[in-house]
Amino acid sequence: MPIILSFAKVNDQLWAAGPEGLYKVKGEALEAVPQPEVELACCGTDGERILVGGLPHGTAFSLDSGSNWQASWMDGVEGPVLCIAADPRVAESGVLLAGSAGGGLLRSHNRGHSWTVCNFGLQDFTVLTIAWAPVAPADEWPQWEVVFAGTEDGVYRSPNAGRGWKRSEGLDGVVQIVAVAPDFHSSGIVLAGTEEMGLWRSADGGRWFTHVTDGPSRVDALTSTADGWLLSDEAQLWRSSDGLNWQPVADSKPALTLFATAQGVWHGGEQGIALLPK
Amino acid sequence: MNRPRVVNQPTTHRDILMGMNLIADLLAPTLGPNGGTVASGPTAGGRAELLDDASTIARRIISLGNPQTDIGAMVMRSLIWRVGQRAGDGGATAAVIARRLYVEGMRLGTAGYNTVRMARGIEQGVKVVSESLRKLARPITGETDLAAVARTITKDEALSAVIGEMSFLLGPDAPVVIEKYVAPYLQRRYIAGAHFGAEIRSMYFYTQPEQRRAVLTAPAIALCEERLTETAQVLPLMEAAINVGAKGLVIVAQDVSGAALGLLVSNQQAPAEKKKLSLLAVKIKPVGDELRWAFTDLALLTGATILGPNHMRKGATALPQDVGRTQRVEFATKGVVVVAHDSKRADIREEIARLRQLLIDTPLDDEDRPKYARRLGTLTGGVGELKIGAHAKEDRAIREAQAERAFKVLSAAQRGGVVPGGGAALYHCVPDLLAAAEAERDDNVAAGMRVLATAISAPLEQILINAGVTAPKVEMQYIRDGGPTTTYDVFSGKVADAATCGVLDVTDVVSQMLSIAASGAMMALSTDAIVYHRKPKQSLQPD
Repeated sequence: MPIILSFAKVNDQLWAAGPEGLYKVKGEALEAVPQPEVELACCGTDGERILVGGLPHGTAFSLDSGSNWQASWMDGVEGPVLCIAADPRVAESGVLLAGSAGGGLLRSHNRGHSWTVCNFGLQDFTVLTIAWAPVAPADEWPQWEVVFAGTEDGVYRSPNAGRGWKRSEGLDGVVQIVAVAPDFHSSGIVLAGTEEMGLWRSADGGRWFTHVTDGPSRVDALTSTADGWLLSDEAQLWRSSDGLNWQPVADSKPALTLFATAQGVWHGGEQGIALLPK
Repeated sequence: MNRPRVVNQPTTHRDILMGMNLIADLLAPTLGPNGGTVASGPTAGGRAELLDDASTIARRIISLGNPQTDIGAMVMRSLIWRVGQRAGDGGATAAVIARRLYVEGMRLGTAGYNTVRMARGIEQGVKVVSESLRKLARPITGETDLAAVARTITKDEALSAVIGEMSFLLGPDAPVVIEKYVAPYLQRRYIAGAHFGAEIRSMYFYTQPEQRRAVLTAPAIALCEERLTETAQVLPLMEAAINVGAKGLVIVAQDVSGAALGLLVSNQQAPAEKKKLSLLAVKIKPVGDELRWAFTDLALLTGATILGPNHMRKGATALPQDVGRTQRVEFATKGVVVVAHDSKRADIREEIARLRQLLIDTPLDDEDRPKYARRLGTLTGGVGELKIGAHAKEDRAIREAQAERAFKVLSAAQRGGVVPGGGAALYHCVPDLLAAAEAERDDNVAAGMRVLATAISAPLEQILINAGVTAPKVEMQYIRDGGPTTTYDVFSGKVADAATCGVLDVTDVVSQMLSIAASGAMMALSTDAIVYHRKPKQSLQPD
């Protein structure tokens, strides 16, 4: 089974991507589709099209379920794209963000056709993960569009859909994954997973992170679920209701990516994919 | 013969009060979110100028046409202007406080209290209030707090949100370029990296010719404070770049022309398989001190050595260690943007700290301040650009002025924190002030403190009146009962927690405003005689 590093859902179709290729998920099986890159690092979606990023560089997108691919304009960034994440309001805004190795963050306002570098405030230009906060409640003022970027230098937070960034305090390490609570606008909870420094948690909207002492020492994958949080270290999965207290999931396999859907959480790793039902 | 006329008490107090009342009555309705604007004019074009900023309104009043009212009006003009210059906001509040201080002080003075001792009480009271404000203050927690403070100045939610966001991302010394925009909307842009005015020396250096743009990723950079005309001056730079393993080289020089430019262009046009370096040569535009700072900052950011006849080496004798490294260099129409490779180096941080301290120590109206802010923007990684549009020219001008004031005030907010807004913070200081008056042995000094206690309640009362509250004293009691974090939220018409409803004032602004208002009122109180000149001097600039 191929290694899977990333999931994306376009309409009802789930896609999985990894260095060996891009796949449509059929049940719990994978169906390969032609891929435009030598080695894929991630896939993303604006809800209609599938986008991929990886080696040699840049992103490509397909409007016809992977039959034909078009390369995006990358604003001079030559590093591979490691992550892609769409604005929760992408249907209206058309905004996507992509993180690259060495070139920082790129922002597209036309659903991935072209990208412009948006590194204002960044001090580290290797972006490993991007996580958007849910849309702010309609009666809230101002209507911030909060998004987080995990870099080799910690977490950066943007209140304005990625136009500018400010480094979050407390966490100085390589952040592999960031996950935002579904009730972010009331709880302000954000979790950040690192390779060597374990799990970190913020309860003030991602401005300040503190170490979660009860969590595993390494975090490879992390997601929020309907009833809490799920993460993976190098050996197994862990579950928590509050992001502070973690229990190992019995007989679970480690994951490199976790993707929460209505059916359950999809688990991608070195042995392909699996669905963890709710 | 033009002989001056001298008047004594009680005429002195009556004349001063007339002028103070005129200015305070003019500005009091502008207080609070329901406050209106003041029309000043007609201007040279025959139009009325709409103003809502007390210090600008005060500046427009050169004379009220009556020497008797001019004295008090000019006292107010001067103090309001000082508040605007030092604190950035709070001029109307200062006017309301100064008037109440003067009226109450005069009343007690007439009743037999010693005005000089009362002035000492006011002075001591200001210290007590400043201390109470410090206790009430809480630090800014993020962009929402900043937007809330901006809203108290602009009264415009969209503009306030953008200002709050920019101030948060750019930091307390936000280097922001504000421009008027013809279209009736707001646009903000963040320019990452150090930005310098420059001219590309050949169209062949464009990597995206259709957009007239050149982007080089991770190039080496050479800084030449000299004119490069010979091939011998640029060859060592190219060799140095290849030696340090760069795939690109940016040459920033006073000029690049002749054979030197020819060599660079021919290399740039070489087939991809033969080309060792992507090149970009720009002529830097700043001159004089600006040029010196541009090269100094570029050298600090990139680690490059400045080359030229006034430096250790010239371009012709450059060594590999003379070229610096960058993360990205981009040239577009207006100039070159250099993104540092490692902006966290200790020497960069030291210079940033030095510039921040300089800005803290420099008054808001100092002419060097924009230079420091620009250099800070260069070293901290960029500047913000805010374009403000509106349907009418007058509206655009008001919004631009409001934005400028808001950025100044937010700078103070990020340093000294915020207190409940809408005049509530000062009102919450009244119990401390009355307690200090109670403990004071000298009746005159204690009376001064009580006068101040009355005066600092006036802004809240005025805001409630402007909001159409029918029984302001009753609402004030609710605010007192609600505790030190409460205020009146004009938008909801309720007494509420200031942080929750986003009605906040800046601690340092309130504190400075009070100090200046008290000083102006005390000066007026201690005036016993007025000399009316036949032809008094008029000044556009308040003293």
